[in-house]
Amino acid sequence: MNEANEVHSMILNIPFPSSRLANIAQKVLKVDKELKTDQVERIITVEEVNLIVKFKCSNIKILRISVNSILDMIIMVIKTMDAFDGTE
Amino acid sequence: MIAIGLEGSANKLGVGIIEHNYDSNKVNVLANIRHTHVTPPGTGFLPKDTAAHHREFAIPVIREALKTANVKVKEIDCICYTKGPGMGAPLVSVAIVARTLSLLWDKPIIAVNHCIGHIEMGREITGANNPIVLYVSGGNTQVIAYSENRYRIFGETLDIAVGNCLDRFARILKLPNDPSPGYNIEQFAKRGNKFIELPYTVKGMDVSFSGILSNIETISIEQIPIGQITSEDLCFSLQETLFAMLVEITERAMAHIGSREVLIVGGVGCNLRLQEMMQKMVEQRNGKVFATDERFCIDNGIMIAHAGLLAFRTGYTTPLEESTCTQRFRTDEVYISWRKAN
Repeated sequence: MNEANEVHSMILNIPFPSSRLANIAQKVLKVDKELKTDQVERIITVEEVNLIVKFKCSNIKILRISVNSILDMIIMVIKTMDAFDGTE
Repeated sequence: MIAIGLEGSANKLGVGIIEHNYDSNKVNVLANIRHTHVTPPGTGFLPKDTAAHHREFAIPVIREALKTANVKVKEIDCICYTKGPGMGAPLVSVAIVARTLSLLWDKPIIAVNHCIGHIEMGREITGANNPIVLYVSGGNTQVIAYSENRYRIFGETLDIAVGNCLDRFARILKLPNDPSPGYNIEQFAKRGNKFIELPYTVKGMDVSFSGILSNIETISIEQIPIGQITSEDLCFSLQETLFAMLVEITERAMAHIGSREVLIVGGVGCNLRLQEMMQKMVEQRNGKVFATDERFCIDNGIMIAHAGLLAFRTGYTTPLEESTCTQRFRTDEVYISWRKAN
């Protein structure tokens, strides 16, 4: 991606109950690549118990789509953890 | 060994739990739960809404499957999910859940080809050993035969799937999508008696349906309002034409291979008229037709669990980083390690 075009950015910071769960979320979410890698850059990291998702994007519409999409996925991950972590 | 399978490539969300017993070589279906995204008459299902449906119902459907199967998490050996083919957003929504479960429970994950799931489940349920497979659903139309560790595609649709043709005609007639558009067409067809000639488009081993759909749409718009023909007649004529084409290419595949068994899988496979027409052809060749009912024909989680477990037993697992989804994933891309070469 051209540096000069990186006009929009966004950082999501989502706390998890433990670093274990934050790391699981990171691993799960990293598998699916962004569809338009030429227009949006997405980096998912973990800092202690927080899941950090950083976006850089040349097009604000695509940024909105990317952020909405990852939020849907994060909600699904959290719902699954909530329902099945520690299930015997 | 026990596997849980998650399926969500189209509008059905399915979770199945299956047990393979090594010693007796028996397969037990422990749970097979499905929840369908049904849209109002005249409309189809869209990727975004279907994905939202799957996300809403994934947790309760998995819970119900675990409860029905009465298995403990520690008894489950692997988690299987549909990698493709199918609609991207719904596939990914379900894969996310599968990956999360894999890491939470520390179980291996197995990516499964949806078509292989249908074929293997059909073989298991019916006991068909080495059949010609007619795979007919809303997204796929293929005639398949096994050879040298692959399911080879002998013939397929050149444009839309046969189920898509039926679904879209149901939409034109505003038939309900509950329980499925194809089922409602089948019921209408039973009351039709006037056969209206439609294009018949078999091209070698392949078939084409989009022209038939355009043609019947025009006929329905022009002739139903003036009372010349009824919706029932058109449903009847459409089914007869489409199924005759499918029977023809299946018969040709049988002649090629020298096989006497036909297995029908996929959502359209539970249409009794298709089974009956196939039966008539196969009888003349002294063969046998194998088909299943809606529990196993229509998309379900159990077939994903079953096909995944077959692969897992040969030592196959999918690294988490590679547990992606793909909208296009041909049946013959998968190496069938669990069957002998011939």
